Amino acid sequence: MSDVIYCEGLKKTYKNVEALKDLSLSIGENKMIGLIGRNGAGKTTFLKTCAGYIRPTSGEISVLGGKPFDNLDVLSNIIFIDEEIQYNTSMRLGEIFRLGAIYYKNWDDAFAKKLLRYFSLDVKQKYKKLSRGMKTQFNMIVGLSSRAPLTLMDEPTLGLDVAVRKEFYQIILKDYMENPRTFILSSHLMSELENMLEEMILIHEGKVVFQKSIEELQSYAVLLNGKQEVLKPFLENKKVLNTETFGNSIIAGIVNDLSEKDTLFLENNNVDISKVKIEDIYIWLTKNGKGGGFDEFEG
Amino acid sequence: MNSKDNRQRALKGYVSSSLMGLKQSYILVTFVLLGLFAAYCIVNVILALCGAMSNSSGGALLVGFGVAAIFAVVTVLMMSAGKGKRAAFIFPIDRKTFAIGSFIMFILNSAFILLLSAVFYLGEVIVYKILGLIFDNIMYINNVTFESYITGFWVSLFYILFVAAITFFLSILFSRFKFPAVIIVSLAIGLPFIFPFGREAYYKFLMFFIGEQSLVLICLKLLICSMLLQFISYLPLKKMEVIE
Amino acid sequence: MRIEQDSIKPIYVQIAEGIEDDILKGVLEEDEQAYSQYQISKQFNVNPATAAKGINVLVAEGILYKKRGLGMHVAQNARVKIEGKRKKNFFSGMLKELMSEARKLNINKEELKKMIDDFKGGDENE
Repeated sequence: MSDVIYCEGLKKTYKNVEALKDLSLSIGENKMIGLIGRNGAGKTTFLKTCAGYIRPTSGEISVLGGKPFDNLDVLSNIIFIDEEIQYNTSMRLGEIFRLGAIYYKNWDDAFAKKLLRYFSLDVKQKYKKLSRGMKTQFNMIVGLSSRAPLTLMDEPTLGLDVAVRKEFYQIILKDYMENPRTFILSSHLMSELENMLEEMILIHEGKVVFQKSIEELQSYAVLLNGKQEVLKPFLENKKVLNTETFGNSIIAGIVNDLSEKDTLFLENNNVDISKVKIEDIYIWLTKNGKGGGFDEFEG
Repeated sequence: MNSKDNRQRALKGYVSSSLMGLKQSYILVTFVLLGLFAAYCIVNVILALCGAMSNSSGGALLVGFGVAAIFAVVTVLMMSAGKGKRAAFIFPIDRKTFAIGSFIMFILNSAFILLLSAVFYLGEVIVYKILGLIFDNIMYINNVTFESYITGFWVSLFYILFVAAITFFLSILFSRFKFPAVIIVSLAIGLPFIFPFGREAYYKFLMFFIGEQSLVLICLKLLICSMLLQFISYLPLKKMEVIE
Repeated sequence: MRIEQDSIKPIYVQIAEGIEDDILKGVLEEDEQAYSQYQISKQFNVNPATAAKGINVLVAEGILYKKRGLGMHVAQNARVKIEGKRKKNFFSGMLKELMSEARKLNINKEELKKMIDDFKGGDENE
């Protein structure tokens, strides 16, 4: 399968700020990818580089077989949706649809209008006058209706209540199955949508910390909860992501490489083994040096 | 990938979105023109009532030209300013499409105003014909023929196009290089005035566009210079990023 | 069939087990059509690749098979296979858990056996 996005040593410096430092990754075709990272980690910069909004300072990037910046053949196949979209102020929703139909050759107008009705919006409404949540909904409708082979969505559910978010996840997934294409979604609400993803990429301080399938991530770490005197020596040979002490016991998140012998040992010593949510792994790995989680991490 | 198809769609899209975006400005300028035209007629009627001898011809066309020039400057600034650029680059276009599409928009915008003022000019003719029947002292001398109108239309169009291209160039220059550009451009414009040969150069430059006898040649000069300017504007655009 | 977000089991394993449960419960009949990748994906909002992985586990074990042009079907002796597998798992998994919990509570084997003998509820020999 060919790569839709390929980056090697990608760097982007704004004045004195290094937004991307040595970012390398590759993303396969027709995958649903989640992008996570703290604020200012470089997610948006990465997406904007892919969408040709900004030019990398150095390094290599190839999107749909070409450099995205100022490359019409690449850009014609990309849509980038974020909350900062500012259409011309007098634009009506129906007009934006008409533009979408001109710009995107796979634009599905019937689908766009159906979604618009579903979310109780009207073609005659002015974009400028929509509330924040309605703008988000409308942007998402445009993003899906474009049927662009590469759909990038930066915080696509910002300002939406949980019911609408859930509806949108369902709509995206259904549309993705009916029209397979590559999606990259960045969100702070990853736990809500992790199951609809195939892979997740964690960006921290301008670099890729991991890129793994959801299954791998969901069993990547385990949480051990037991007595200090039992766990302390045990943890010495383990990759510890996070530890908390609680009275006489330790709660430790470790990389899940437990052998059968380990498991037996833990069970015999009354140590609880439980699941770690991806969200927790993410928090531990981006703690900025506290607890040494990030340093312990190996791809 | 079909490059030609992508280019066509991008260009069509950009021109359509600019037209949609300027819709309100078009309506506004139509009312401004209408107002100016009405005021112009009223002033002339008052003058006629006061007994002054009024002989007007093509006032609306002159007003139209002025408004078109101002409209060109304003719309160009709207399209090339940060907000306009951002709105343009939401959709898949490249910088070449942006430059070419803007150029098309310059022509469409000035053509719109000039045609509009032609309509008002017809109105003017009718108003004066009626006034001439009522007041004896109104002599309407209509020396605008269809032919001279067409010539005037083209010459005006190319002058306004040139004005738009200069505005676009300056706007892009400023938005890309900020203060240094302002200083350099001001110096470049201001300094020659100190020296006699500088003033002479300015005069020659002006005469290059105005002093030409052949109208076709004027139009050609204006068109080529506008295109050249647009191309030069495209160069700093090439590396422009779309940043909020 | 349902998916538990907090379960330590990966989603695709839960999907596979969910299908197995439905076969055991008779919701899905042998030799009849099973859920498609898309049905599962839509129903539980999971990535189609994850759904496919869950199905493929069962295909590899011979519990499901693909009928040409008709999609996934339940194999003829699916029930027996699942029961066999689960019995093995019962011993290695659940029994172990039970023993470990019993150890924590200082319940010895004899006590545990007695408890099982005395256990009432949901038992067919009741």
